[in-house]
Amino acid sequence: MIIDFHAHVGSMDSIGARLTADAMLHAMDAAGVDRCCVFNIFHADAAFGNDLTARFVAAHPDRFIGFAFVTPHYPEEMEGELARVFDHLGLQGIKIYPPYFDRTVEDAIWEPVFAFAHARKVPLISHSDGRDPLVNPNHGEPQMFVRWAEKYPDARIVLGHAGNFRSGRLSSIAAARRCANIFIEICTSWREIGSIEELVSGAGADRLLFGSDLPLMDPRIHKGRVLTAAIPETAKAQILGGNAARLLGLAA
Amino acid sequence: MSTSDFPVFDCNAALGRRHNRRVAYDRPDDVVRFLAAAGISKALVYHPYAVPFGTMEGNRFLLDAVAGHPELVPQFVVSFAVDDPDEVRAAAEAAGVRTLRVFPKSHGYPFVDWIAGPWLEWMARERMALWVPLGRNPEVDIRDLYETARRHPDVPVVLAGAHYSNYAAVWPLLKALDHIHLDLSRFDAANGIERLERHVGLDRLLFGSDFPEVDPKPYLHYLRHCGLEENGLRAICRDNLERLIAGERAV
Repeated sequence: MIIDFHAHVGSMDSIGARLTADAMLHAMDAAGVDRCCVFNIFHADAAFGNDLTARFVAAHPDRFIGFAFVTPHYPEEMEGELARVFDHLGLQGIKIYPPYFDRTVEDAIWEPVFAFAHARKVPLISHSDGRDPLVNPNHGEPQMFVRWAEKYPDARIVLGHAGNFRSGRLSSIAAARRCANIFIEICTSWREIGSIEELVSGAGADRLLFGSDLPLMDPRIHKGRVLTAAIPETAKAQILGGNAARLLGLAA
Repeated sequence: MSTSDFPVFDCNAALGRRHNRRVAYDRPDDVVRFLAAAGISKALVYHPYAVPFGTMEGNRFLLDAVAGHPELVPQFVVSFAVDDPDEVRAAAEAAGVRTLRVFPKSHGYPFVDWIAGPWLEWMARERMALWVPLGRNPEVDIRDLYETARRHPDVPVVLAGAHYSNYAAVWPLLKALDHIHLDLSRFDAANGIERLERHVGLDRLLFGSDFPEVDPKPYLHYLRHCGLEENGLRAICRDNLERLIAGERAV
């Protein structure tokens, strides 16, 4: 089974990120993707976005897996909203996006989210970025997640984009080596030579997850990064779906 | 259908050392070997020195580097603001250079007709094509690009490295001007090839790698899985670029 661990529903028109479910299914089918984890991070009213995600998944429950989103601008809503969507809407993971807010992932305001992921033993994926003058302040540097991973060892923390560029990738690897509950999702628009090989040799194939950032990027490109990498076939199978199936409690 | 069935001609690659960091492949032999292993038999290359420092000096470095490597086709970097047109013309003719690449933002001038116009008139007469980098830090204001390119419809323009941050402008620009072409090296949009085919057809799409910044293999994998007919895949991966270099327009 091939599982895309990183995809969006909703519209972000300024960067061309808007597709219907049918168009997303076309991209998934063309890439041979069986299941896709989706979230809606665009609404300031998180409940509204989570309801949209749940309805999107309900139309194709065999293809999409819904993840919840919460906003730190309304911290009083976080725990209740997470409980609601997990207990009543069937969402199975959490997505946070620190760069959208004036809150680095180190900020204590995120703690209830990590605590919830720990208590429920569910995956939590976050945007991550390496240090770069263009990303300042950096709200999702991979090392920032170590504190939460150590405090909440049953949370399965997934670093989206593997820190994006090389400094972030190396930082992601270091974080994963330090914490057994940190995983790394591979999609990035940087697509540097040797990046998959470096992640495998640094963090181990059992800690990597295939993702595309659909609809921003096409899953065929990121599946291609795995398939064309100089890594063992067993590693490719782990990255493309085996590890995600394990995190989500699905049969591989 | 496999791209290994025919030669792939990469429209967007750089060759040479950079001043600010070391890249994995900067020697011609290594570049040719890496690209061949990726299924790319020929690449249009420019020299990175020509961007921040000296255009004509960088172009000379490039010609030295590609000598003896017919797989590497030189592209000159020029500044429309400061370069001497006669010097560029003579050097391009002597080296058989058929395409130019400009970096107006990096070189400190606007891409407007009162600066670019005389160059583009010469390029039209010579049936040459122009590469203009976009990406995270676009080298041109899109309004300047549209207004200037619109006045010179006989000079094909290739948007190099167009990235999702440029999408909102790229889609209408491709529709507005039929001599605008698109290098695909950074064009990652989901179903992007299918959508572009419906939007403007395949004749103005060019496979590019942005090598050595980007690994070209995954994008070639992607193109092989877009359901393209053989002719379409050949057009994107080779024929459209060959046609531009030959001075022919999109069909």
